[in-house]
Amino acid sequence: MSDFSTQPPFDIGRRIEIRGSDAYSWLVVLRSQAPESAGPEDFAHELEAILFKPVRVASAQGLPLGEIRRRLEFPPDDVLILWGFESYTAHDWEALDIHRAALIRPGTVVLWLSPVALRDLCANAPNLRSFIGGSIFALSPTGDVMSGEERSERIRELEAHYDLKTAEVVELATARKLPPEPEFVEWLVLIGRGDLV
Amino acid sequence: LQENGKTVCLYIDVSAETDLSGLNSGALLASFGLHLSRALKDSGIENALTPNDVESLKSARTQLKHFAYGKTEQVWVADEEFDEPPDDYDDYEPGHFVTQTTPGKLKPPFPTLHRELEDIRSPLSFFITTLRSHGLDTVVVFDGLDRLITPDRFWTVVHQDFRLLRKLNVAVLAAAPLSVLYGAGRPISEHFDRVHHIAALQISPGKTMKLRSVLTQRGAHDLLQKTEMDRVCKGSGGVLRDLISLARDAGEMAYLDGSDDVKPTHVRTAVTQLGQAYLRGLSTDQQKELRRLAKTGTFDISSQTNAELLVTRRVLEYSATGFRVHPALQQVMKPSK
Repeated sequence: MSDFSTQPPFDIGRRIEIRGSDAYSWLVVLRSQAPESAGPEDFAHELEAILFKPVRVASAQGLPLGEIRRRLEFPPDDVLILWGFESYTAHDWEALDIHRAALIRPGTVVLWLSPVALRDLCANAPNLRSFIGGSIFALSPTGDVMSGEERSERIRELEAHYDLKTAEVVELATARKLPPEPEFVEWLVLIGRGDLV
Repeated sequence: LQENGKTVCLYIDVSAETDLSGLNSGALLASFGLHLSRALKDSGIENALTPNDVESLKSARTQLKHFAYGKTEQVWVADEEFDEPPDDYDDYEPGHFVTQTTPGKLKPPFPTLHRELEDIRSPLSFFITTLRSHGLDTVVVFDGLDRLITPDRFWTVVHQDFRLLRKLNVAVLAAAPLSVLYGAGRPISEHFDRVHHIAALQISPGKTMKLRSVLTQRGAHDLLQKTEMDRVCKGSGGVLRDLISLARDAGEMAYLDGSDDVKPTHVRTAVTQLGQAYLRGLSTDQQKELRRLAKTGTFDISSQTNAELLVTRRVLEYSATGFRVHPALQQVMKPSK
């Protein structure tokens, strides 16, 4: 597995949230190689649940630079997950690197990469890598790195704090009566019911 | 420069305006011309021009637009004529004339300017002369050219355009890749009147004042104790972007941990993350060179491998002889066997 810090989508979402909507921030999410692992769309849904706003997903596969730029610019201020860099050659990364300034936008950009694509980015696109800095996070096959025990512990904490059972939270969410606190969103994500947010 | 009232200073981030990966001569001149045209418009000088000059200005703008964005036009092409050889011409051998050039021995020190670049000289000259007649000199700052990492790529893009700008008496400031300072790139830096190297800031104990002031300006003292601030400064290697990124990442970790301030462990994790990003994509040879530098302090800047390490900031130069592995990278490097 990766040497990079593993983060659940919830924490990545909170990072994006505290950086703000005009942070000009770029980060890399290192996707798992396992076949059953979550894709960029799944990850986007989790982020939407955390950020309470739409998250756009776009593929860079086979696109000329101008097209990638258009996807970044219209609109320029949302959270955008860019994927499809698997077939990128050293030359493609170099071209992207040269034009880093043209890719700058106020909204957060998440590059959804495989470990091989990340290696190629780091080898051939030093300016882009410098822009990303240490914001490289690895996802586990399920898109969530909390162990089962950690997850149960956190749910127990939430149940104790709000004096509610998980089943009651699901009922409230289904009836659209759940309070708006972010902890309830976390709760639903933890039990795999992000669809109720 | 702009504020002294005697200069029109144009800032152009080239990589945001044009596709540099095609390595086209003329791209810098086209960007420069468009910015210059806009500057003339903004200056209000146009209102004082004579009717003749207004016409010339209009024509210069059209030429510039065509040069920058190209043009489509209809041209007359004569039908191809073909002469049948006479029947009684027995010695006829099929074939046609080709132009042959024998190169001379005395080659010019610089290749001649491309014809299309010479063509743009006149409209650019009109703008510059008009500004100069109103006491304004032109200075252009080209940013983004440092992303053309290798010296040959940088030179391919700039050399023809910069020569014409020099002929037009335009002062040029350009961000160049670090590689023009070392090895094969060194002769390139000799084409410029002055080369200023922006080195990493000092991180030795007692010398981190400048770095700490950057953090303080950004409100870091609310979250970081002095010791943690020093750790962030040291981990950044004196690279400003890394400094800011480390402080932000450490702060985020503290927040995610529910901590009121940044603890040593948050800074350590942030530095490790940054180090891993630097480590990724390194070849075995590069790792060997890094270990050699870390162990012996020696670093041969003439080698291509080492030049790449410098350009990608995995190795930082603090003085002409003071090279160090980026501290964040050094923290995650495996020791040599």
